[in-house]
Formats: sequence, C-alpha cells, structure tokens
Amino acid sequence: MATNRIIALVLLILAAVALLAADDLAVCAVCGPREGAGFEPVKARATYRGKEYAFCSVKCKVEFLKNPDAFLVTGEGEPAPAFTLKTLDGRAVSLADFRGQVVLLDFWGTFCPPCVKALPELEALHTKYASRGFAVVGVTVDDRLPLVKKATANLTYPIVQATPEVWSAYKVNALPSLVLVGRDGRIVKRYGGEADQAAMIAQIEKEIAAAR
Amino acid sequence: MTSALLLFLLVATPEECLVGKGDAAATVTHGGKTYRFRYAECRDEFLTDPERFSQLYDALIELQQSGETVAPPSRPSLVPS
Repeated sequence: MATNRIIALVLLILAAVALLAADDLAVCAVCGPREGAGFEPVKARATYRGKEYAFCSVKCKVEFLKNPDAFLVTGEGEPAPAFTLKTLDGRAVSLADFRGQVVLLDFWGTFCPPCVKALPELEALHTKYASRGFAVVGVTVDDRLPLVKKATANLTYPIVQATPEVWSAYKVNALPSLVLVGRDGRIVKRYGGEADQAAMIAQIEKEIAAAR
Repeated sequence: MTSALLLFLLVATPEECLVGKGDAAATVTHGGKTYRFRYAECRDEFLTDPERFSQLYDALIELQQSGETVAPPSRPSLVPS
C-alpha cells in the first residue's frame, strides 16, 4: 500500500516537472524554419528588431545572430498555405472557409505572455470588422487544451489547433506571429510583438477597404 | 588598406574576431561590457548593429566558457586540392 502511494507521489512530481518544463518550450528560430522542427526546450533567447526569438541551443543563437535575415522569411505576396485544422471542440476549419475575406492568423500559445495579453485586443478587432469581411483565426501551437480553453473562453473567433506541418508551412519561428491574409488569399504581411500593432491595424483597415 | 579589407573578408568570422586582453587591435564598450577584437574591421562591423553583435559575442563567450566551440563556416578553398 505504502509502495503504491510512493509511486503515485513520484508520478505526480514527474508530471509537475513536465508541466513546468513545458512552459519553456518554443520553436527554435533556426531549426524551425530550416528543418521544420517542432517545440523544443528553450536554451537561449535573443532580441532582434524588437522581437524575441527562442533557440534550442546557444549554437543556434550564434548562427541566427550572424545573419538573422536568412531565417526571417516573410512569404509576403505568396499564397497563404492551405490548411484544415480542428477547433477545440473538434470542428474542422479551413482557410478556404474564409475565401474573399481578410483573415488575420494568430499563432500563439498560453506559455507566451504577450500572446495571451493580445487575445482580448484581437477579439475587439474581430468584432469591430467582422461585418466588413474580416476574421481573426487563432492558431494555437499549445497542446495543453485545458489551458487553451480557459484562455479563450470569452473569444468569439475560431481557435484551431496547429499541426507541425502548418507552423512549418507558415514558417512560424517566434511567438506571437500574426499573418495577415488578403482577400485574394495571399500573405499581405507578417507581424510579431506589440511594436507592430499600430501598423497592423492600419494595414487591416487598408485591406478591408480594398475592392472585393 | 585594400589588402587589410580582403584579409578581413577572407578570414574574420565572429569567432576569429573575438580575442583576449593582450591581442586586441580594437575594443568597444557596450552595455557596460568591453568587447575586444583582433581586427579594427571587427569593431566596425560591431558598431553597425551593437544590439545584435553584443548578443552574438556574449553567446560566443558563453560557448567558449562552457568549453564548446562553434565551427567557423566553411569557406571555398582558394587553393585547388
């Protein structure tokens, strides 16, 4: 009996350690775009042009800082990669569902404080412009569903769960990453961090105003 | 001057720019830290973007202190094999 309790306690501690460790996972800004690598433990961070990047090793940090632009692919003007992803309640959502609309894809996770802070602001944008052909789609790269559900309980825009293929196709190498898709289905611009917010809203308004 | 620039372009990677106290041809103080360089051109490059290069050199120093090395990028050989 005592042995079972000890085993249960050890398992509980291991689960807690795993949960804590999961808070410091991110897509490496070097291995993500280069190899399509998924979440890895963060071993180093760097700031470049006001945005924070995470790395799976100090060596990757060195490689990135030698030539950051080599890893910052914008994809602007290119067709937004198609996807069909599931919402938190299992409903399928495709990018094609929003054909003809301006769509803001928000790649985020609950472990990313600026991402969580931005959720109410994105909800406000979605509500403000929905009637004019605009939609926000939250693409969570966080597989801890209870935390995601809690963070998004008051949101009206769809939240879908990313797959490694999708974040790799969109070359997501830092969070938050926001991708603005125009009515023609092409990537208009990518944004990240609070510094970009004013420019992003101006661009959204410009895209909404564009002829349908 | 031209030969010095050519030497820098051919030789100086950030790993090679970084030197100890005695061998520095140039130094820069940024964020309260002093960075020592083998060539003046390394300092000039640092000054083009101190925020980026200070992080880069800090990471290189961290690697050196942990005993790890970063292989310099391979360069095309000028001597036919």
